[in-house]
Amino acid sequence: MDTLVSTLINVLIALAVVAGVFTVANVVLDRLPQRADQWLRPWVFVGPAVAFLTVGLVIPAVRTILLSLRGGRRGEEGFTLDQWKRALTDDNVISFANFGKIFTSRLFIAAVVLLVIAIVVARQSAARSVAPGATQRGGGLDVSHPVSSTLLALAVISILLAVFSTLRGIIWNNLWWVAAVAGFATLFGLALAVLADRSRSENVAKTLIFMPMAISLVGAAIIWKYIYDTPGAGQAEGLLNILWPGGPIDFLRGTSPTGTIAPWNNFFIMMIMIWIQAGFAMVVISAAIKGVPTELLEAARVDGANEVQVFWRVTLPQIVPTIVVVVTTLTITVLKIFDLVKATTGGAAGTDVLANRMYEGLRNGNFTASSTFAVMILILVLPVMWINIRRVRREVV
Amino acid sequence: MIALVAVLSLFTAACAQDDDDEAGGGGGGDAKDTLTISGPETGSEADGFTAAFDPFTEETGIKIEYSGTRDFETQIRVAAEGGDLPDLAVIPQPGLAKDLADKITPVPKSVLDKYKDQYDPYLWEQVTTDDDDILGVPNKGDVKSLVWYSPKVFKEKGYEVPETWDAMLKLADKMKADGVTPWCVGIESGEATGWPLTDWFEDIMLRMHGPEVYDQWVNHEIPFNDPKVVEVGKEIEKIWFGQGNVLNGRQSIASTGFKQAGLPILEGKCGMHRMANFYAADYKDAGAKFGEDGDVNVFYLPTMSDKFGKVTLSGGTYIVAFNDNEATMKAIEYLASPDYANARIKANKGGFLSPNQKHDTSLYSDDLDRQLAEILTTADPLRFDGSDLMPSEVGAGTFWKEGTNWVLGSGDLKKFLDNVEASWPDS
Repeated sequence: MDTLVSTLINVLIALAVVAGVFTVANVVLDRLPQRADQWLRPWVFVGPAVAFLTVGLVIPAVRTILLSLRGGRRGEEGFTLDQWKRALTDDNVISFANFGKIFTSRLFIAAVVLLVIAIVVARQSAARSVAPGATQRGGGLDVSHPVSSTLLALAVISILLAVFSTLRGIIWNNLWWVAAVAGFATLFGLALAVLADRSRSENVAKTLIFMPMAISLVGAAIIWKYIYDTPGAGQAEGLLNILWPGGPIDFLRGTSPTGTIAPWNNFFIMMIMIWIQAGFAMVVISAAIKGVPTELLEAARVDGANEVQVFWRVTLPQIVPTIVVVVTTLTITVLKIFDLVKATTGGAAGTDVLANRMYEGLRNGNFTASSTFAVMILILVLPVMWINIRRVRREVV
Repeated sequence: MIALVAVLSLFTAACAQDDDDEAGGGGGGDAKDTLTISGPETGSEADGFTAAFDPFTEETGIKIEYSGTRDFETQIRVAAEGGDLPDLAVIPQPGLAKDLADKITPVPKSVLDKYKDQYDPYLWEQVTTDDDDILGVPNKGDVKSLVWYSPKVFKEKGYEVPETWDAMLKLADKMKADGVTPWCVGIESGEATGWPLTDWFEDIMLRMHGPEVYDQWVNHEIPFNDPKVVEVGKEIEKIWFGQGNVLNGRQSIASTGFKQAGLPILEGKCGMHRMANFYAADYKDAGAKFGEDGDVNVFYLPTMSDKFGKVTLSGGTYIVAFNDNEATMKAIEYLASPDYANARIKANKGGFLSPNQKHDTSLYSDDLDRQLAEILTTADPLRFDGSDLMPSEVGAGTFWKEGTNWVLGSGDLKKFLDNVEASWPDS
């Protein structure tokens, strides 16, 4: 109780001090000559935020980067690339050993077949249509045709899955997470948003699907563990194993009586994240769909477009910027994935990810190794940040 | 909102801490009236720990503030790096104490003079630095060399508690012939999945090659993939991977929670479960009665030969001080004394066995604990859990993970041991 009271008092004092400082600063600035006021005012008001960012973000980031470039467990030795060399030559971190197997994997072959069909459909569609957009772009390929674009998307997904399920290592794992979660959560979100749009139970359905967002990742991991549980000593059989023929399969670690499902056990952990994030994607995309001007839709219908055409040729192009936002947001979230892996397998059975390595570095007191993995995450996040910032700038201009 | 308040209260607590440090700074100055202690124990174990301080607070007027976290090892390292250490800490790995040696105030001579001979010398050795400083006081002990069994099933089928390793394996074969699965094994423990496997390795290493080789293995004086370690692994393969040896088979081992793994003993579904004393709490929760006429009982995991004596694997915690404030030193002295152990046993909250050889075993609330405390305080030779002595990259990292992969069948024994060897940190 003492702590609570003193905390509340501290909070109030802090708020009062901040309010007081800004009020006084405002009064003082008002009295200054106009030019000095103009020059000084932004600094006075932005200054504290800049200071906090410097102390809380910039300095630690720079320190982490420097630490990753130093020797010794706590960076007590001079600059060296040892930690990077060790990490990048470790087969557990990144390995190209199975590279050749990608091209013979069933998924890859399926992707090639899908791709061929997509191209054929796109060609035919381009030949039939007089849409100027198509000829402008793809030299006789109409990739915005519903069938060809769906097949294209499936082909890309298959290729990515083929790549990530063949190449092993935690960096590949992280990228697999990004592709799977950002991809599937967005696809499901889009599908749900479209299906729920203007239906009678839209609000109820959307609320239900959005709800997992309110569950913490560790909580979600525990819920799904019950679904994935294998019938074992003193523990109940999980739902999925009851439904799955030929079980029992240890979905989280990939063993089954007939062999192994590894590395697809990774995918069953990703499923949890997809379950959570699909709701987020749905809500954002749904808002964008509602924001598409009705005049456009009506104009298309008057011109004789059916609902499928309206969606693929009018609605979808209109909401592409929103989809980009959803994908980039999910990508950044997922690159930092930690809780789910930690709470389900702890990184065993080939499910390790970068953030878990970063944490383990801290636990082991190996601050340089930890920093190295932190910087790896930063490097992977940077391009996505860059895309986001560029897009925001363009919108402002 | 709660999180916000929590963060802010941490902040104020940290501020308060700073004030204290300034007041008491320089060490040995004014005594503090409240000591902060952090450690890995939570729930009822934490309650037992804090309750054990009641006599101390009554006598000295010094209060304690304990904060337990499951994430202790990481937290304390970050706190050490950031200069935000508590007054005292409960440390589960002697290796961690050695890593933090330059932040730790060694146990003062006055305390050692009084209490050093009340503990197994081996326990002190584990926290002695190269400069002969002793970093911490043994705080709690676990006995790991135990096998749980059902006395009812044993009586019914006419089994006898085995006295030798071979007798135990023969008993297992007999059980199999009778249609009872001999072993219950589960190594799933969330992020710590794999740790029960390390206990098996340590116990068998001690029995097969003796405490000297055990120390060499733990201190990396022999490589982790040494032929002797391979032999230990083969022995485990024989027991774990053999057809019909483990309830639900090999492929269930990594997905069976260690908390659930031993419960089928109560239903007679399996015959034996090798697990440390703290598993008693799980049987208690399941409503089992202990003892020779009860539902479940323990026997000492038999030795393979008489060469090495009654080798016993233990685990436990140490308590270390991070400053030499008068109050902190008083607390260290109290914690080393049998009074602390007795108070904690009397509190009877959470499992607790004292490694102090002079504590009053009659205070334990049941015969089982008394029996276990006797095994612990009379063990000869005693050895500490090896994975807690190894660098945590190995002992809480690759040993668990690669071992789990081996059990899952995604790599053979050689790959497992080679990978752990490769992960051993250079210095």
